Amino acid sequence: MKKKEWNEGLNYLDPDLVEKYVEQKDRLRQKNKKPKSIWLRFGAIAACFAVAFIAVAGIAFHGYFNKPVYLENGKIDISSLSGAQIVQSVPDVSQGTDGDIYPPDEFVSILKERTDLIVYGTIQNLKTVKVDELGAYSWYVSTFEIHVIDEIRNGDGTQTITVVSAARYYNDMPEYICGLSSNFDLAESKAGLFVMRENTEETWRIAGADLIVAELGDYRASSQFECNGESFNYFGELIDLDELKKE
Amino acid sequence: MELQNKQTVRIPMDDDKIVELYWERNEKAVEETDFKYKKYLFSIAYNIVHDRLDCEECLNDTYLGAWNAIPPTKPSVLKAFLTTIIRRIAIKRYHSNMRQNVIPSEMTVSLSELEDFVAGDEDVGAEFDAERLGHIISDFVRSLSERRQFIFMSRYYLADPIDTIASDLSLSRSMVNKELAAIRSALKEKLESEGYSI
Repeated sequence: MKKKEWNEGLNYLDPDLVEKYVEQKDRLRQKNKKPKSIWLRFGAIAACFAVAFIAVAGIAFHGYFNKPVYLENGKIDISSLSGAQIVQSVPDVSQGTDGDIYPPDEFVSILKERTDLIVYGTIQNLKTVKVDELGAYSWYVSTFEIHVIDEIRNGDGTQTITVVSAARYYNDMPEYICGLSSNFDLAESKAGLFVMRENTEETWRIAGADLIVAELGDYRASSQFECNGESFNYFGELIDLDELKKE
Repeated sequence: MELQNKQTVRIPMDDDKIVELYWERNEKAVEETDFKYKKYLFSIAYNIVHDRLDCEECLNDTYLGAWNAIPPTKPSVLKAFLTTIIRRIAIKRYHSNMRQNVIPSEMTVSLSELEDFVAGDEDVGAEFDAERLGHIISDFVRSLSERRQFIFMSRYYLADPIDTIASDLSLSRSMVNKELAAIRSALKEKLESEGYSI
């Protein structure tokens, strides 16, 4: 077939397909325009105050890493973040949600529609730091590896996945949570179900500086659940992982 | 006392009202179309012809096309209607320009991805039935998942860059490329089964 023939053929594509596409594109663009979460707006305000403070006090920031230290997996060690203090645990937080609670069947449907990577695996090399920002904000940022036991959806065969997860607090109250649940046992021997999103060009503003998330982990946790290996428990109902695997 | 230099913000007109203007043969229809959709339509044309002057001409031809078509047509989704017009015009300009030299546009890149079964810059053969191919491609697109439908339309209908598609869908480039590879493989199978020589 010739290129011109191909393009001529496309000129006769059913109009309803074009309409559907145009409307879908508009919806996606509108959705992507909205702030991804409240913390970005707060982060911008906090950053403005931080910049103003710097200008007045004459303090120079030397970038967000004192001197980046690289781990064996090629990612930057979170403890080399400026002002980072290593901590052993994160204050009690709940799962970040949009406030909706779905029946289990609907929840599985939603997970099936999303493009998130879902795997079952164990956590290795977990490290958590706390970073205090100006004012009453503080961050808990964790990096870890997941050794994949079973790919549930959207995997590409990678056996070890690097992940970064963060929670921001205001006056010790959690504001934005990126995946770590206090109910989840992070002991390295225990396996869990992880739902993650690939990091592309996303940045987080921590301590007034933009942090390129992909330098800390290839994925960020979007949500994660308790799991006993054959199913996971969603609001008291067991859901079979094989159901999630099905197209 | 009235404020001096009072600024007003112009808000794009609703599509229904713009279509009404076309029906009334009111030339304000073209002005409102240009105000609302110029940037969008320009980007479609640019992905294809990669030349600003050519894009301006495509735009003007699109407005003329819309003026001539409405009425009797009454498009339900004006944006989609304009999209098909500008694509058709830009593609014609693209193939006309390609006779002189290679155009470094996204259309060229997206066509090269299909070289397994779409190749050669010669003109359309006498026996070629574009409408039949259009129906076959439509059936194929409908058989795809929602995400793949979007990716197909973005890449092969409108020649959107891969980064744009990745951004729209919040995916990585590599994921988009994977999806495109799967789409092409399925498309090749479909075209072969319909008797198109590869």
